[in-house]
Amino acid sequence: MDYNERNDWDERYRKWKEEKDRKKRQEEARNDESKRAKIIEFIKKEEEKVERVVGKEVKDIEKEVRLHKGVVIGIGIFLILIILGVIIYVNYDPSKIRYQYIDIEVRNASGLPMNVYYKERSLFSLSGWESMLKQGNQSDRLYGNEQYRKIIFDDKGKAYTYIRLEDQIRLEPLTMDPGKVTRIGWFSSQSDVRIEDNIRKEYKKTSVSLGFDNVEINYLIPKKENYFKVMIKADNYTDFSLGFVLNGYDIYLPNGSILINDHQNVDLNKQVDLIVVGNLTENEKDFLKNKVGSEDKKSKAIQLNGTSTSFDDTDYEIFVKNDSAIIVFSEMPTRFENLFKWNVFRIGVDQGNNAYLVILDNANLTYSEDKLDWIINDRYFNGSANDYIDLVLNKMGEIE
Amino acid sequence: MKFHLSERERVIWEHAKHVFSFVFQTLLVIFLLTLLIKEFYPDKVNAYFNINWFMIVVIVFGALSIIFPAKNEEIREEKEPTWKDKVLIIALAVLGGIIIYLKLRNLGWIGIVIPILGALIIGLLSWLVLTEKNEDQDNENTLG
Repeated sequence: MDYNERNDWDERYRKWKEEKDRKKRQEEARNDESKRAKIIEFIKKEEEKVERVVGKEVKDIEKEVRLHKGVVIGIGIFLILIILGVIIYVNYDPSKIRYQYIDIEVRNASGLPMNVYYKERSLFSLSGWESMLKQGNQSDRLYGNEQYRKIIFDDKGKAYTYIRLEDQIRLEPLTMDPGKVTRIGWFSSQSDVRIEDNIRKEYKKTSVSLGFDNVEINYLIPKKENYFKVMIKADNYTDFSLGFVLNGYDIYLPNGSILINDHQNVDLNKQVDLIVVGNLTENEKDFLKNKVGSEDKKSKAIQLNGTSTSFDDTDYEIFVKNDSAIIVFSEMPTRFENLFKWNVFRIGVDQGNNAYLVILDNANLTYSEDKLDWIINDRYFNGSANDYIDLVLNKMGEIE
Repeated sequence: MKFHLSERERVIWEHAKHVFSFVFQTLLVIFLLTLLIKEFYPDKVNAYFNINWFMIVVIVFGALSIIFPAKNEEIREEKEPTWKDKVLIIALAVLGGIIIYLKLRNLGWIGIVIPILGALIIGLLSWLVLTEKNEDQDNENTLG
């Protein structure tokens, strides 16, 4: 074999080899491409699947969010209403809601206190204990109580009663039936008292019935006004004085004079004195004194001071304390009792008449020598006291 | 302790958490308004409400909403305060000052100084709350 022939074979072999490798690579490339295409197709399919699943979940979440707001707000409001409803239902107390501007709260308690509120502030108190009723010749407190005597015995078994006063405890021999009750006032039974409120669009009526003899105290309180009327009803009464308690008020009289409130509650800086009345030896007195309760013995002695005045046929009285003032009057000139010692005042209410009380709001009072009357300047009125009284009488007449 | 809840139970529980949060926020606002009204009309409020009971209910719902916090879905965008925000802050500060003054006017000169300081504090705090940057969001922005 010559070299040329050999080279020719080598060359042909090399070309064949190259061609074979090329074809193999092409084949491999085709296979790779096919695999890639398959993978891509698989990924695409998987992506579609994931998208389908995730999309559904996303849609579900979106649906839940929309549902959430309506349901949450609905249930929330429902819960809040229930909570507020329960709190209001449990705590609702109509007695705390005051009729405006004036309200009267009658309490069936000792002394039958009738508190007067002005713009939700307790101002003063009308009182069954301090009111006096006269039937025939007999006069007594309108509403009182029943009292039994307190009894103690000495070492020989003799009975004594003891009475507690402002500055002393007085021990006296018992001279009457100890079981006999001391009754004070025309009425004293709380179970007989009936209190009724009747609220209408323009006014409130409060009726206090004391049980028998048709005795009633009726209040007529116009809505959003600063005055009210007190009507007394009783069979065949000859005299009635409406009592009220006003602490620290001076009194302005129609003639221009002023009664300064000289009430004093003096602390005597000592304990109450124990006084035994009767012919007893010192030892016997000491024995009795030791029988008195320690709390009574320890109580401090006080002394109440204050002048008392009364007037007949007076048009009105104005009670004044700082810028707070109250006019008290009746249809006709009537009598007034002023007891500064106890800060108790009374106005006479004759048959067919009523008592009126006007609460002056932020009042300024000056006396006019021309009109011979007090000039009132308050939140609701500017003029003389008599003009104010006429105005109130007219307005009250319109309500009825 | 973790409970395994079904899908339905989870949805109900999420709703309940939102209800706690909503009821707490609403009751808190009503409670604060009631307290404010009570300062001026104590008898009227006392006739209807026992404020202590009300407070207990608010505390209970407050505790529930803290123990079981609702997921916040809304991400609020931070915006620069607008003129409406500024007017609101000033109005609230003035209103607060007036309320404090009405309660303290009987105290003389100090009854004027305290409302002014109160109004300034209300305005300042409102402004700080309004312009407060959300640190988490800032960090995210910085880190890219």
